[in-house]
This record gives sequence, structure tokens and C-alpha cells, in this order.
Amino acid sequence: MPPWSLSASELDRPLSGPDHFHWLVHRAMRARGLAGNVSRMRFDLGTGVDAEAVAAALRASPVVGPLGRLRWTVRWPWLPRWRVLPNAPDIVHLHRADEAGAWLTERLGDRLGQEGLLRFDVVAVGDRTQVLVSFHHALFDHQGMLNLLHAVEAGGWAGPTFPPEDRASAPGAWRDVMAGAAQAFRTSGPRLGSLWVRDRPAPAVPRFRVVRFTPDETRRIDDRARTTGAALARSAHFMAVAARLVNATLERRGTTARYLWFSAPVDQRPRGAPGHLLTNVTSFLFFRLEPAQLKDTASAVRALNGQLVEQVRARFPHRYRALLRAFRRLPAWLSAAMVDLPSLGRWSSFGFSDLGDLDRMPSTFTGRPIAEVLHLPPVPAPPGLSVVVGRERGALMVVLGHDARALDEDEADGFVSGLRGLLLGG
Amino acid sequence: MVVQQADVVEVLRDLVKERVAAPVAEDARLEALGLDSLSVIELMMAVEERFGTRIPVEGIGADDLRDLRSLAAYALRHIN
Repeated sequence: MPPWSLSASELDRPLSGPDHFHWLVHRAMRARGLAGNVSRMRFDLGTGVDAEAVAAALRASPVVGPLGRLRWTVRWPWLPRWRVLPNAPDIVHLHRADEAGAWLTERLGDRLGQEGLLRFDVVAVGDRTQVLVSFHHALFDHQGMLNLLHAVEAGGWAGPTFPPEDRASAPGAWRDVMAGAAQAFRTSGPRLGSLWVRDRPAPAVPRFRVVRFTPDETRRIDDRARTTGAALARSAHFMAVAARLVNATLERRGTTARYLWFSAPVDQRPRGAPGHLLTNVTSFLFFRLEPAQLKDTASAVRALNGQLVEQVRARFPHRYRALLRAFRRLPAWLSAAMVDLPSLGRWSSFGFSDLGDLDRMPSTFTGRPIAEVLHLPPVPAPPGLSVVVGRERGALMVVLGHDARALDEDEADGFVSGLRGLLLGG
Repeated sequence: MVVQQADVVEVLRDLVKERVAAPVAEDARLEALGLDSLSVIELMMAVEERFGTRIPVEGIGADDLRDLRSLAAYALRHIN
């Protein structure tokens, strides 16, 4: 594997449109006292693994060291830019804990940002060893994170570090910006169904529920998805179920939503290759469901399929990327407002993400077999409720990340049992 | 002129080859090629443009998404 380093000339670039968007979300989250726009993955390495040896292997990795020195720099009125510090504190931390759950909850309050954009926490819990990888969302999209894990395993990275530069001056860019803005702003507004309850106390850390299904249950769920019409995009079935559960929660509160509106990120990397290591190449699709479409899953899937095809035909993911690039040029107060509105449930009902098949996930970490993986999305990725779907080795996993201001513990319990019921059926 | 299934398969194969930068067999599974729903819609849009017709993408079923041949067969039903 060829050596890998972050050269100053390669780094001399502003944060791309999607990176900048994640940076804005981070600032909005920090302003509300939360840890920031941080995604996490926890690996259970099982028993008989020396935690100190895992930490030492990470510190020796030629990829981990340079990434630990990566930061952004903000010099108004210029765009935030990447930079690499000559020296930075160690980003590999070793712990000993009595109970994995309590330790993890404590870690969810750890901050990332100017403290470092990546962090590894290795913990010995009884005779088991676990690793928590925390990364700032401006640094990686999901594919980039998987590439990092492969780079750690291989002891280097042979592919490109950054994607080809996304130039704001591309032909037709402003037309795309206007079309992207029109799509985003004509379909939603402050009258949408929102879970956000303003007078609930702000939580110290986000809460997560992980719902795992066996491969047999997953096959049953996929068969059901096909019967509801979710053939073209399996995600439509999961989005429909999540939307119906949000609606049911609102109904239990005695609220009738005029409509639900939510976003789903779409990977814009070229297909068939792992691509680059750093930064995000994502765009978004937006969906809106009216009460009549929420009555049953098949109706919701039909509506979502139609909206999916309509947006792809209109090249909306491409156009919204142009809007994200243009976002970087807006006055700070305006771009902050555009992030704050969905964050506070005034523009978006929930966030949905389908990570797809996680078969590209390495089976080992620093050479040790991974017994189990847990994905922890940033919360509140606007607006206080994230539903993340993925599958590993044929088994479906749904992670529900919530802020108590959007979903309290009882409601989260109801959401989880409703999810199992709607996905598996009677 | 009646379009043959082989013509559509050839168009799809060229389009997919551009995306995955590798030779593509007509019985290669779409999932294995890394093609998601967005890619399938974009492929159908390119086929529409090539053959000057509208394909109801929303109606694509699970069996049509098996491989390039089955996707071409779906497109062909709407081209001719």
C-alpha cells in the first residue's frame, strides 16, 4: 500500500457545498448546547482482545495521525477552508469501564470540531474490547467513512484523497440554484406536522434505539416491501413506515398534521468504485406526504415513488448540490436561519437516511474480527428525529436517534414497537 | 422500425459501462453493479432519449430489476 499524507497544496481548498452544509448544521447544534454534527460507529471486538494493543495499532496507522491534525479555518468573509496543523493532541483514547451502555452514553456528549474532526475511543469493558469511532460529518460521508476503515486496515490509502473540485461557476449553476431552492421551499413551510415541543427541557445527550432484525425477518420485510409497491426503491417502504409512525405519534398528542415533510440524503459518488477518502459528495431528495397518503403504507409508497421519479427526472439531486455550493455565499444570518428552521421542526418533520448494504464494511478492525457494529447518527440531524436504515450480512437494522424535545421515552418505545409491527406485519 | 431487445440491452450496457468503468455482462445483477434506484431512473431517462419514447418508471417491478436483460425487456414493452 503506498504511503498517504495530507499535502498542503491538496488541502488548499474551501469546504465543499455539502461539507459547508454539515458545518452549518454543526454550528446550529452547538448553539443549542449539543455535541455537534457528529456521527459515530461502535465496533465490538469480542473477548480476548488487548485494548492497549488496539490503541497502539491505531496510533501507528499512517492514516490516523494526519487526519487527527485536520481542521477547518474560518476567516470571515472568506469561505471556511481546510487546514492541517503541524501538531495536534492524540485522537486515540484508552478507557476502562464497568458497563458498556453507561460508558457510551457518556461519550455521546464528547465534542468534535476545533478539538479534532476524528476520534477513536478504545474501551475495555470486563473481558470485551470495544472501539467507538466518532467523526465530524463535514469530514466524511458514509462511503468516506468506510474508506477510512479500509485505509486503517490496509495501512494506507491508494485512492484519491478529495473528489474532483465542485466548481460554483459550472455552466447553468445559477439556474440550478433557483430550481433547487424552488423545490425545497415550495413544498414545505411552518405549517407542516412537527414533533418538536419547544418547552421540553434540552437533553444533555441524544438518545438512540437500535432495532435489529434477523436475516429471516429481513426477507419477510423485503417481501412485504414489494407487495406495497416499493420495488424500484426499497427505501420508499421504510420512509413510508417512518412517516406513518411520526403521524401516529402526532395523532396520539391530539394533533392532525396538514402534511409531513422530510429529507433523505443521496450519495452522488460515481458508482462501482470506492472513490475518494475525505469530504461529502451528497445531495438530498425531499418528500411530502398528505394525510390521505398516510392512511396505509401502500398509498404512502405510491406517493413517494412518484416524488422520487419526478425529482430524479428534474435532476433535482444535481441541482440541490448547486444550491449547497451557493449556500456558502449567503450572509451568515441567512444561512444560519436556513439550517435553524428545519432543526427546530419548523421546516422538516424528521430526517431519514438509508445507508444501504454495509457489505463494504471491513470484517476486521486493526486486524481483529468485528463481532458487532452499531451506527449512531448525529442527533438532532434536523429536526430532532433521525431514522437510519442499513443492512449487514442480510440483516436489517434501524437506528432511531432522537432528542427528547421531539420524542420522549414513552413515545420512542411506541415508535419502536410500531416499527416492528408495521415492518413485520401481524 | 421495431426495436429489438438486443438494441436496448446494448444501450443499457454502454450507459452502465460509463458509470462503473468496467465491462458489463447483460446478465450481471443490477445490485452487484452498484446501481441504485436513482441510477435505474437515470438509465431509463437515457433510454427514453435514445428511442424517443416515455417509459413509466414508477411501474418497474422487482422482476424487472434483476439484470440488464430484464430491465431492457421492461423498457422494450413501452418502446414498441
